Formats: sequence, C-alpha cells, structure tokens
Amino acid sequence: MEIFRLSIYLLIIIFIGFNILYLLSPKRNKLYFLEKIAISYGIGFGFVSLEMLIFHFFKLEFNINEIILPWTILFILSAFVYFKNRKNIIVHEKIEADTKAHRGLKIFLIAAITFEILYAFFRALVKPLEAYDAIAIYGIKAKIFYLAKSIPYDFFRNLALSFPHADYPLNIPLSETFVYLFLGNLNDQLVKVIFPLYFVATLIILYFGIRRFASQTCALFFTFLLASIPQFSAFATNGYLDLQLGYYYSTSALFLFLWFKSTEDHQFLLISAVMVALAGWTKNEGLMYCLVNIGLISIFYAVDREMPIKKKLFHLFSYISIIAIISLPWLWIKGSVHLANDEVQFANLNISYLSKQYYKIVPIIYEFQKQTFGPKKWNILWLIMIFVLGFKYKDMFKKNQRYISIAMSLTILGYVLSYIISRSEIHYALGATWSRFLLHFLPIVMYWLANIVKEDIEP
Amino acid sequence: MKDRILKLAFTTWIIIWAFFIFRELFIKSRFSDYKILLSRSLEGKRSYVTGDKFYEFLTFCKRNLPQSAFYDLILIKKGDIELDKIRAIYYLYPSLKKIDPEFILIYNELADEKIDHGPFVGLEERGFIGTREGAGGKGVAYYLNPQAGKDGSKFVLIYNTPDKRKIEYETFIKLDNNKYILRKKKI
Repeated sequence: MEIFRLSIYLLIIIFIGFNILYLLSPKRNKLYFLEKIAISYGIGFGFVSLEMLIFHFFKLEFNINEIILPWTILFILSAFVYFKNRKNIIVHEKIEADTKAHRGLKIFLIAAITFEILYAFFRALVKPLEAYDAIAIYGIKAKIFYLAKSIPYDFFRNLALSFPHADYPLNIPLSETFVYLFLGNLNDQLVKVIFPLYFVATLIILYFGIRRFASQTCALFFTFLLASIPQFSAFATNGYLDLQLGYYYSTSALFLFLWFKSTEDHQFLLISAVMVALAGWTKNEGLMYCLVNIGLISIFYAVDREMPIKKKLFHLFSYISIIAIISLPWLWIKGSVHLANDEVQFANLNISYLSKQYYKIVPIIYEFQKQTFGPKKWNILWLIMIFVLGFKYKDMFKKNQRYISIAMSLTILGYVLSYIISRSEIHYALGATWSRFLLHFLPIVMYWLANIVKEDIEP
Repeated sequence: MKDRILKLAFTTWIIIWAFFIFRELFIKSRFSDYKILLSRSLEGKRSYVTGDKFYEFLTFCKRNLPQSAFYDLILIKKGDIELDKIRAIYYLYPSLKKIDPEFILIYNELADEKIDHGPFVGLEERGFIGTREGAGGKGVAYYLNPQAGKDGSKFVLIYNTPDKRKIEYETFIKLDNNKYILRKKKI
C-alpha cells in the first residue's frame, strides 16, 4: 500500500513539473520525452517545496489536498494552451538513427547502467536515513515539519538554531515532508526513493545532452562512466544533497550551452534559469552557480556581436528575474531572521584578510591532487581528463567547448575562494567537502569530455 | 594508436569499477549487512544502523521521557560519538537537547572497561569527567558521582561557565546500571 501511495506521489510530482515545463515554452517542443520526464521530476519537487515554504508565510498547515489543489489551475491552463497551440508546435529534429556498429559494447553499456541504477535503488532503500548530514541537517527538519504539519511559525528564529546549518535551503527537507504526508507516516526508509531518482534523472539528461551531437554509443559510454563513478553512485543513496545540486546545476548549464548554440530556442534559456534557481533552493552553493551562469551569459554577449543589444538585455533581464522570483521567498526568510552561514563569511572578502590566507593554497592543491590520483571515489576520471586536455587542449577553446571550460574554471575559482574566506580549519574543510563539491559539476565534466573526444570514439 | 589507448583506458576503468563493487560488497562486508537488513522490519533496520544496544537505549528514553522534554546526553562509548549524538537527537525529537535540561540521559557502554580514550577522557577516582563543546565555546564539564552507576543515587552537573552552577539530578528511570535517565532534583 505504501509503495502504491509512493508511486502516486511521484506521478503527481512529475505531472506538476511536466505542466510547468510545458508552460515555459508551449510553442516549442525541442525536448525528448524521457528528457522531459527527467527535468519535470526536479522541477516538480522544487516548485512543490517552494509552495510549502509559501504556506509558511500564510501560516497554513500542510495538507495533501491543499498542497495539490493550487496546481489544478496549472493543469487547466496548460490544457487550454495545449489545445490552442497544438497545430503550431515546433518540434525537435529527430535523433539520427545509430549505426549498427558496436552492438556488443552498447548492450554491455546498457546492462552496466541498468545495474548501477538498480544497485543505487537497492542501496538507498535497504536502510533508513542514517548518514550524518542526511539526518542532522535535512532529515530532522523534514521530521519537524511533518510532526507539526507545517513549518512552525517561530521555526527559523528558534527551533532551526538547535540543529546544524539553519541557513541551508529547504527544497529536499520539504520534499521529504511531502513524502511523509503522502505515506501518512515517518517512513525514513521509503523517503529515500527521492535520491536514486535524481541519479536516474541526471543520467537521462546527460545521455540526451550528448546524444544531440554524438552517436548512441558515445552517449551511452559517457552515461556509463558517470553512473559507475563510485562517489557519484554512493551519493545517490545516502540522503546528502550534493547529487541533487549536481542535477539542478548540470541541467541548467547544459541547457545554457544548448541555448548558446541556438539562441532562438528560448525554451533552453528558460529551463536553464529555472534549474539554476532551484539549485540555489537546494544548497547554498547553488547561488554561486546562479552567478556563474549569469557571468557566462555576459561573456557570451561580449563575444557574440550579432544579437541586438535590446534582445541581449531582455534575455539577461528575464534570466535574472526568474532566478530572483524563485529565490526570493527563501532569501527573504534568511534575510529577515539573519540566517547566516557559519563557515563561509563574505565579510572576509577584503584584501587585508585575503592577504593572510595564502597558506591555504598548499593544502588546497594537495587535496586536489589527492582526489585526482585516488581511484576509490573517482576511478581514473581525473587522470583521463588530464590526459585528454594535455593532448587536445586546443579543443577546450573551440566554439562550443569554450563556455563549458569557462563555466568549470569559474566554478573551481568560486570553490577555492570559498575555502580561502572560510573560517573553518582548512584541512578539515577540504577533507569534508571537496570530494562532494566535485559532484556538483561532475555531469558537466562528462559533457565536456564527450564534446572534446566525440570524434575519437565515434564508430 | 588512439584505439589502443581508448581500449586500455576503458579496460582499466572496468577493472577498477568491478574491483570496488566487489570490495564494497565482500571485503567491507556490505553483503552481510544487506542480508541482515533485508531480514529486518523498518524498526529493526533503524536499530541495526544505529547499533542495537544504543537504539534500545534511545527507544527506552523515547518511551519514558515526557512529550517534548528537554534533555542532555552523555555518551561514553566507542565509535563515532558525534554521529551517535546526532542520531539520538533525530530519534528523540520532539524532545530537544539543550544545556541545563530537565533530564540527563546517560549511556555508558564502557563501564566495565578502563576509560582512557574517547572524548570523555579521564577516569578519576570519583567518576567520569568529560567536557563538551557548547555554552558559547566555554565547554560544559560533567561530573558523575561514582554511586550513580551503581545505585543511581546522585548526579551532579557542574557548568564550567562563569557562574559555575551546580545542579543536582536524581535517578528518574534505569534501563540498567549503565544506561539510565536522570531528572533535575526538585528543590
């Protein structure tokens, strides 16, 4: 019975996300069906949890019917828009049929990806939430909200401060609460189904992202590489949110790169804006990715001289507005009750402080090399990347790849800066976080590698 | 040449991938963990991942503490104490952990062992003394009366805060001689 309820719950979440995705661009359909489902999953969770946060402003209690009811307006609206536009929809070009070469390899890759997916579900669902952050930061909040059937009115001023990291966004804790509400009990084992589903969604998005420019073998190859990275699959199961942030950011970046290739497809830009805003609603680091994407669009504008300035400003304004609208409720709460991060202090962003932090560079480089050469978490991914970049470094700056290169450089710079201004002891901070931070842009690393080596591995 | 490099890299990847799955399942004994977990109910699974004895104590506390009580927790045990504390906080909610609480939960797994390690260091003649982060970084020191472990007669909590308050606690309920709940003594 619980499994049945859970299935209904997931279908509702995906359906809500699907409608939002549809309304982002009803006249253009340039996404593949599975890709839409994978994006809808993340959008559905993000928007329902945002709605639950808004309930807090109106002191409303959580109730399944009341949470779902407002979305019926959306269903009616999308049905209305669909019937109005159904004859004028611009659809995507069909993916070119693959050659029959490498059949054995493809069967192996599909089998291996399937194994990783099933194993991720098994590992997630075989035991309840138990990892440190999963219960200390996220699980406890979900439990509080479920037992109170709301976000208690004084939660942010009072109760939240009893637990670590009160300033962390509530996308996943509220999503967990919604699962509990649907199940009717605190089943902290079944609630973990959320996590491997994000894993599957990321794999689907990466697959179709690569499939747009490469063969099925190439897309399966890199999807398999991602799925089989021990650190990536482990974080699909433990209730931490780094893979979820990776999903939101990678989707946003991937669709931004697609928009750079075809700027008339506004759907891609809108998806990118929504997903990066939801990254900020999932983890604090997501706000850095909002800045990275905005910076990337600005660089794109500086290079691209064909687009009229008015159009450029309109796109940039739309992008920032979407991020602002989605982020506003949470930032409002954080600002009004002065929820600040207890580790990264932006007040430290000044010359006199930074000039005393140079000693952190050595441990940062040491930790980077430790991750690079350690196969336990990453297999030989970083070695392959160094090898590929060594031999094909010119490809990093080719038209399509340069923005990915810039995005990754900005990301790494952002993280290095966060370590430098952090007041945590540097060895501890690096040991506890760097291997998790890498997950945030790991799918984009795969996408980047696929772009660079696609000609070398095509049949 | 390119093909050979690619094949070599892919083969290495597969070997490492298979090795780490094998290592996790069989060398790190996950397989036997999974076998046990699959045979248990949800409550049994919670108990297994938390540690059966410690989970039994948490269940005992949950059953006996009043609804939404304020408690503090003294853990004297091996393993990752920070993780155990956070699990206790998670399972015992809506009771809340706080300084100067109504109840003190004592879990002493090492009562029969010589205590010369762990965050609660120093087995002195009179009992255990341990410090804990908190209280504005000043730390809180606990002093356990040696009788507390035997007849549970008295427990004194000394705050190392500037006012150095002494608060007396008495036995509220015991699971056994080393696992029990103390309650603030009514004056």
